[in-house]
Amino acid sequence: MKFLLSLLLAASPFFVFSQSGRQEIPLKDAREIFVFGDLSGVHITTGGTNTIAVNHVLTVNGEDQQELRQLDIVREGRTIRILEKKPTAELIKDKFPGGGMNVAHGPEKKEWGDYGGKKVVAYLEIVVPAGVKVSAETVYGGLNARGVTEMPMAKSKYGVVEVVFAANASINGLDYESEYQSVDVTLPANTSGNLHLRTTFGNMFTDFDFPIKANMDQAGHDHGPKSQPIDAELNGGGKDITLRAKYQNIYLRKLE
Amino acid sequence: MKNILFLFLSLSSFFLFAQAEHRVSVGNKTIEFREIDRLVIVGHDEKDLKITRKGGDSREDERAKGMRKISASGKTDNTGFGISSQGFDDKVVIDQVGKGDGTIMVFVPNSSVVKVVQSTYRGGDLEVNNFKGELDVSMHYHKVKLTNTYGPLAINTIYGGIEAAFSSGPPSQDIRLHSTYGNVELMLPKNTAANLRLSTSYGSMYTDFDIDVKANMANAEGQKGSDHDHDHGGLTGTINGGGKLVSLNATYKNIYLRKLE
Repeated sequence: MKFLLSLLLAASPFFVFSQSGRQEIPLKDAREIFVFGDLSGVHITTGGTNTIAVNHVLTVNGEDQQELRQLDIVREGRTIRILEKKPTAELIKDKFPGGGMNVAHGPEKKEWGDYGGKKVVAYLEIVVPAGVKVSAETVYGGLNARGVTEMPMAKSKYGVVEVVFAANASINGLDYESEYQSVDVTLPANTSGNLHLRTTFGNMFTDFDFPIKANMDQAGHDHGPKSQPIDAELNGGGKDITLRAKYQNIYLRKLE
Repeated sequence: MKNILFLFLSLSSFFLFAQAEHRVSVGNKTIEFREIDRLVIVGHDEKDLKITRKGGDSREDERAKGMRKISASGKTDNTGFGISSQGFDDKVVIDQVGKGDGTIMVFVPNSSVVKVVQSTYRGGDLEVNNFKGELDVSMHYHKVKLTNTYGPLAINTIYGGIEAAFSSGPPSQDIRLHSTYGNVELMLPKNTAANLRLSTSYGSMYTDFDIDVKANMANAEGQKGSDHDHDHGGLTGTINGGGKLVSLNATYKNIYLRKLE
């Protein structure tokens, strides 16, 4: 029994099941974090030095739902993975049956309208020290990151991916995608890279200057929508910067 | 108070709410429209080409403020209508940039030569109204609808049909309308004098004009024709004594030549 208890205590730093909305995760020797949000939107900012501050918010009709929140925090080598296990959309529907569900995926004030149903607020706020590499993926909520210095991957199925890099950010390749919403990225003005912009049903906007070689799909009798990829060099080219938003728009901005 | 109200009402007609438009100087150049999802062309007697928009999403994209729309065509929106306008030595090329929004209405000088190419299934039918210049259209998937287009016409569609009507007088130039898989319908004033050339391989031809048939096209070429052949050939003839050429060809569907009473 003593041995089993010791074993459990020794393993416990690797699996932390959060029971409160706020917590601080010691960085220790980690240099990279990965965040996964299921129902929640994920909001990432930079700050602090030795810890990752996490605030996991879930309310239903204005009431905090502690029992329906769960994050798994896993250390794998020098990577900390923050994984939202609860809530999921199915869990909320099970616990609060009947009626629809309106979800706010961030701290911004939401105009709920008169649609009825449950009013759910679900988001994860993460504050990471500058210099820590961040990647993130969400399902239902959007992904919003500000002031990050290194964020090579950002994906969302149903939410907007919006990332504003810090002025001293080092861009060594990006792979960003939103399946059903827009991708909006702000890069330092001197960022160089090989751009790959992909949208099938949306538009693409930028305030960067780069030459675009005509690359129309010459399908002719193609019965599908014309996919119009843009491949171009930004500031002389470099690592791949891939932005994909199949159904909505791509916005590529210059940080002023 | 009554006097002020009266003054305001009488002056109100002078306050016009300016409609957004973009003008392009075209001179004598050919105007080419490429891959514009929804397009209406109207002839006017001004010298410039004028671009406006009808419908579409009136909500401004807040995210796109301060940025320009780009597309894989390499063109950028330099008109504010999601349209690129580029001038070359002999032509002005108007392209859509990215996804279409609403219907692009273009007013072209009546003296212009206009070409339209639309090869995608996106968008909708092409309309050309009250235009006196030369018109050349190549359309893959949609219909072409012409009203009072009096210049020489060369209209080719693959899957969509062609509907043309002349209500302001008979055509004064040659007309060639050809659809591979759609119907070709033409309405002419009853006193139109024209040389007709009508042909369909798999469809039928209908008219309420009295046509003076000169020749069945198969017979005219010395070929044997029969009802078992798919090629029903066509006919040449005249109406009202003959005049400009009206050539209607609907390979797989029907031809309708109607009289406007």
